[in-house]
Amino acid sequence: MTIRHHPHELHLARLASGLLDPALALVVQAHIDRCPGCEADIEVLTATGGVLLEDLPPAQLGDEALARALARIDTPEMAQPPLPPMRRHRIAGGIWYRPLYHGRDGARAYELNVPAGRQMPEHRHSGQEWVCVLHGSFVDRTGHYAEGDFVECGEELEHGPRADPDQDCLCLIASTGPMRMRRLIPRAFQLFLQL
Amino acid sequence: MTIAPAVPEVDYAASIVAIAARHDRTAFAALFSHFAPRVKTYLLRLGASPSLAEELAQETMLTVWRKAALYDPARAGASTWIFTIARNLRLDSARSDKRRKALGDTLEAPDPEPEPDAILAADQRETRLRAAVVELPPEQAEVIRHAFFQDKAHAQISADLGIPLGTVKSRLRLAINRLRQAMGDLTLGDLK
Ligand SMILES: [Zn+2]
Repeated sequence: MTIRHHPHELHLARLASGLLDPALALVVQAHIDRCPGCEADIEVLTATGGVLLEDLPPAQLGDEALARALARIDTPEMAQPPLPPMRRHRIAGGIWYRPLYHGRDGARAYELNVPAGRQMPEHRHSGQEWVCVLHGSFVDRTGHYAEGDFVECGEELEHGPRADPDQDCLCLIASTGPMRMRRLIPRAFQLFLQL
Repeated sequence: MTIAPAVPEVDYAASIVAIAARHDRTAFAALFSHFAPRVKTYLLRLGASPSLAEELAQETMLTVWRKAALYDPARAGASTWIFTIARNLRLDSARSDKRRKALGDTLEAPDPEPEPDAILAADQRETRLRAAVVELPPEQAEVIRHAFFQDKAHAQISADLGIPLGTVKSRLRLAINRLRQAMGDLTLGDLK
């Protein structure tokens, strides 16, 4: 498996420094988990963040900040209840998605599975859409993308990605704005897009 | 702001280890005094409100206390570890739901007994990185400075620096490669 499409350096720096939108960050992280080169970049950028943190001018803390912290360390940590597994939602024709993240600003991340050989309806995006291929491969007008590849779909791009015929294609997708369909689409898709 | 990180005089890594070993409150107070105000500055730079930055700085230090046993001095310096905690808490705070685990719990368990040699090696790596950050050529340091701790769109970075976006990326790439070299990539790979 050779990964051919990587997030560019500014995306990596923004991920390492905490500036990247969390939905988009999940997609870059999925790529990094599969790409030793980008992983090494993130490691050194994160260490650089540690070095730069030391150099930041200290901010004024609230009154009794240390006393409050010392009081809180004696309080046992609340055990977090286990998270219920996220459900798959069927859309149409064997296509399903599983929501993973929903931000306060409306950004979201989800897994999308498209069966072998099937095509998504033509659409464009009103914000950023970033994709990492988790399994299988797909093709659209910009190229061919396989497992581990990172793809950035700009606002201007109109596309209808099609899974390759040999196997299902599972992608992790983050979007910062809703999709826009070119023409009338099945109601199941409309519900998916309005999430 | 210039990039001229001071070499820390206190051994903060040892402070975290002391918390893990014997719930050392003095060590915690030392860590808090040094890092909490800087973590708050960092969070403010990311665009957090003053009250959120204050609360997340508190939570960062509480996490240092609670997860001290997960800190591996052979893997990362104290400031890098604390930076990672603050960054992940900030990412979590943007979620609209309470599904906090997916992004936040990325702290890995350390090797059971890190060898003194490994700790020394990690220490030297961090010292080399610190020196390399200071010694970056000015045009690369400038790009690092703009990419970190300033919530700006890519086009804005390019406009502020007066160079095309492609040049921003290629300078950032040069800087990353230089810093990777300074840390010794092979050692980094071994750590995974
Ligand atoms: Zn990569």
